[in-house]
Amino acid sequence: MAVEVKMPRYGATMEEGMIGEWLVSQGQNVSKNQALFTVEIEKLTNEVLSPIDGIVSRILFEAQQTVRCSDVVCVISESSTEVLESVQSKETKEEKTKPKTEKKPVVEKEQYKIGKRIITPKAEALAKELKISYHGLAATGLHGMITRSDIRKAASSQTQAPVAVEEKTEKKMPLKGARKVIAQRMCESLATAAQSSLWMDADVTDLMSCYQKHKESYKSKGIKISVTAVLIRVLAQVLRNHPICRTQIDKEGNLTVLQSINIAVAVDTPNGLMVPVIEDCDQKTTLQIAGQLAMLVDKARVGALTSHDMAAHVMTLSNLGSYGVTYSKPILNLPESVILGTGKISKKPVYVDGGLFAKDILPLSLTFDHRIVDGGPAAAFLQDFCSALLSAKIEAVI
Amino acid sequence: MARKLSFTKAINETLHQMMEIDDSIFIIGEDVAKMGGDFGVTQGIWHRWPERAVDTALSEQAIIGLSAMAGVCSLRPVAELMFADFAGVCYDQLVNNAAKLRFMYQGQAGAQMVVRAVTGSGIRCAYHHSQSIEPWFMNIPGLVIVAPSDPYEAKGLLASAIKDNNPVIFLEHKLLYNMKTEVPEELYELPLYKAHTVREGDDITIVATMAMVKMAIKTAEALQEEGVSVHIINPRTLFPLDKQAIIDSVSRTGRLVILQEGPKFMGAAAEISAMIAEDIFEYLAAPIKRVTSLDVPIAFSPCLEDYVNPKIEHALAACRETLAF
Amino acid sequence: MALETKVLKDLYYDMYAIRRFEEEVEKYSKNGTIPGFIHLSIGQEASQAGPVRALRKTDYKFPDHRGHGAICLCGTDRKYVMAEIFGKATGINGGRGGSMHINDLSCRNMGFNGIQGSTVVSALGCAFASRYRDTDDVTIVFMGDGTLGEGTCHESMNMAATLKLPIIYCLINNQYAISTHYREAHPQKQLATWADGYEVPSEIVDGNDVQAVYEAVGRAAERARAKEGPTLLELMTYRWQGHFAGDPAAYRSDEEVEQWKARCPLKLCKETLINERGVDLSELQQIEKDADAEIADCVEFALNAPWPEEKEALKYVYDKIEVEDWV
Repeated sequence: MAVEVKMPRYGATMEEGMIGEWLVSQGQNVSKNQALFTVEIEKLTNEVLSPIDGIVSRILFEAQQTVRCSDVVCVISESSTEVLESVQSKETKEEKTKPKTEKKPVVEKEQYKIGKRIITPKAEALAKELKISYHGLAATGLHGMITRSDIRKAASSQTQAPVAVEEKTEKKMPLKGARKVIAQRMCESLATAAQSSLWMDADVTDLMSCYQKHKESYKSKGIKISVTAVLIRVLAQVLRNHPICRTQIDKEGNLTVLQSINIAVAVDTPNGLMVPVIEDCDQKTTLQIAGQLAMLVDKARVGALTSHDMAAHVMTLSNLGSYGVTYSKPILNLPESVILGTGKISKKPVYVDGGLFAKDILPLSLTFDHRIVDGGPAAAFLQDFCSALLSAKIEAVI
Repeated sequence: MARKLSFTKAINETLHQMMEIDDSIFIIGEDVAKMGGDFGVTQGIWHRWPERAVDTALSEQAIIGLSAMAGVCSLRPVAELMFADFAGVCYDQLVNNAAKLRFMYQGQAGAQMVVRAVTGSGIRCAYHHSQSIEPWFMNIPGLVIVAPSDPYEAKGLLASAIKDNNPVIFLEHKLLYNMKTEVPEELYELPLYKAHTVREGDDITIVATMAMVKMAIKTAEALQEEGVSVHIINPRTLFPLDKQAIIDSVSRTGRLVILQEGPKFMGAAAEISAMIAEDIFEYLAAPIKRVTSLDVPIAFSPCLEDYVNPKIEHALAACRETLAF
Repeated sequence: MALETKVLKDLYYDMYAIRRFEEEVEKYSKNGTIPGFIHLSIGQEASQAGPVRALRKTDYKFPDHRGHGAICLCGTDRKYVMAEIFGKATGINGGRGGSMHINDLSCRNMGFNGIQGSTVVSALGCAFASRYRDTDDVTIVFMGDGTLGEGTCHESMNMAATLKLPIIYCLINNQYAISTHYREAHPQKQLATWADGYEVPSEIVDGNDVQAVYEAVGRAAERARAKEGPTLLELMTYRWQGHFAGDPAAYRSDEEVEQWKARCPLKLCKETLINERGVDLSELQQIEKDADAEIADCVEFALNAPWPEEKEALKYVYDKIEVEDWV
């Protein structure tokens, strides 16, 4: 019996996926659930697992090749003698069209999923979800099978296990997965765009007092409202009036002014930098933006972002304030033309009309693509943003 | 002894042998005495014991009412319902009377009787003589429903049923009447309330009742050609059911197909499905499938009757879908 | 031959005790102490006491739903009957049946099945068993004018007559099923004639004359013991209350009720004892006092008795098989 492994469809709108890298080679023995290859979509990396114990009898695409969803990527055979048969059937299948029959066709016997089980089906699914390896686990189920409760027990004992002492010897690891993708995109960005940066201070004293006033009432709605959410809303309004900042250039050199003000937010996750997108920020209330931002951050941190969360964006906001950073030099998240970095808000002494006052100052760092946006317009955008922040109000929660 | 006996002759032999050793046993029903039964099952009994074989008027309520209370008075009646469908006429006596007498008498006595009912479809007798009646009684606490699938079982189960002190509805499927298997000459008992493993297997469990057991065996043989090993269980006693036997098997195979004659809605298969899904959902690798008749009365013309009952193609398709899930 | 005075006096006690028993039951039913429905036999005491006293303890007896009176006389101590009606653990059936299903196999009270007409076919079983075993025990089954509508009655009479089973069909005609007068439900003017179709002898008896009832049942029992087959007795009587305690019985005229109250079976028996048998009133008053005391004890017993254990609800469904409890 041979099983075809196809390009999965992660999300309804996905048409094709790129094979990131191969983790096995043709002719290699694999066990059920062993990772065969990775699929990259945006910066999400997914592993495709072997459905059965067997041999990788045929690999049909190489790494970095793009494959349409549901096309066969490789074939796993139970024994080497079936290799030829499965390949032949795959090749002839593409020419035939399946005839329509009135009755339900008798299911092909090749697809029977039988064999001795050491784990219950639901426990197996749970193990996959919790990323627990179950081989060798204590089994308390009927007929010596591992059960869901056995998996849960293993999961809780794993989280309680002490952290292993780090080895002193240096480990070599290949650059792969999301890290590799980030590396590629950063280099591509710097190599492609003419990046320049401007820095400015924004007075957010009134905004912060308004924020403190409303923080509790937002909390009562179950929303932890962050400064980032407030900034996104103000940013969106300002972007409306600066079409040059919403202008993007594509690979063919054509310019487009984006109308949907979708703002990407940089999120630091265990798997690296993720940049999910909040759509139509100019049409949302602070409450809505805060809620969506919280959800996206959670999803990003557990690796659950989908392609839906990565829509086309007009600009990125990267807030490093919580790290204590003031000014930065953010790298453009192509294809955007502007990216804004914000830093830690701190009280500074400011001269206003002959008097010295303590003001809440928000450091702003803007990088722009000089191919499209000149320094003047970039500065004007920043200035407008500062003015907006000066007079911004947070709408009260209804 | 390797002699073969038909289902009807096996029952006849049991009755003779039991009546020889226990004189509290008597038979009662329409045409059971002088004629020896409409299907010949009680032949010879009246000739040996005229006082213990009672022909009655067409009075199902009286037959069962008499039998239930005679059981309370420590006799052991074996009553006959010529066609199981007639249980509708005496439903009250079975369900409201017989089932509840031991409960009412706080265990001191009960309706210890056997009601032999000729059940099932396949002999072109149309809607009032072809039904599978077990669902009518399977949720009445106090009743016992026994359903043999071959002559060997018929003899052993009937002997146990007569000795049992609970009211037993003993279902004899018409299509099994001419079936012949090896039946030991001596009297023997097969235990009630215990399911029987017809065939051992690892990949899928089939639970089958009465005439469907044969179909289950044929299905298993066909699937064996495809490398699948099938575990077949015949409950033998439909109610109370040996749940544990089914749990043991399905928790191991992860797959269950139930073959049952009669309508699907609320049939025996429905209860087994619910029971298994409730208790061992974790172990199921595929949804439980029921292969049953269509939910219609049975018509007369052969093609009409045959159309609505399950065929081996249905059983095979159900198994294959379950295996590929 | 007239009944011995002693027997008649005992019957008076029985009937008076039934009346007092029923009055107490009515009181405790109306004030909500007794759960469920109660069917009182006040006014029908002679039709309860007469038949049971005319039979042996080994005869099989099937009371009807209005049968507290007969039930108490079968042999079960009245206080266990009262406790059963109250639903208590020390009721004769542990509270599991209540008023309508009281049974005591030790004195062959086979109990009532809540479906009218069911005991009429069950009676065949006991009668068949006594004949099968060659004893001369007879079976009496109490039924009402309402019961006669059920098909089971006809099947039973048909089979009993054909097989010549020793059964006494004791049809208590109190004239109303619930609200339907028997003449609206049956074509016969006198229900006893129903037996004619089966060639079964029948008698019409004044159901309020305890002596007449006693003797009629005695005659039917003799026939049955002599293997002459079943008899139908139609006892004409009347219930003073509605069908169940609390039923206002608006379907009957006050006139009719008063007419029958004037023929109270206790009153008739008392008059016979005093006027025809020369029994002193004071003796009867003592009998009444004794009965009052006994009934008071029964009520006390029932009120103080404990409720049954919940798990009793699961017992005795089957022989040798336990049913599942909550997990």
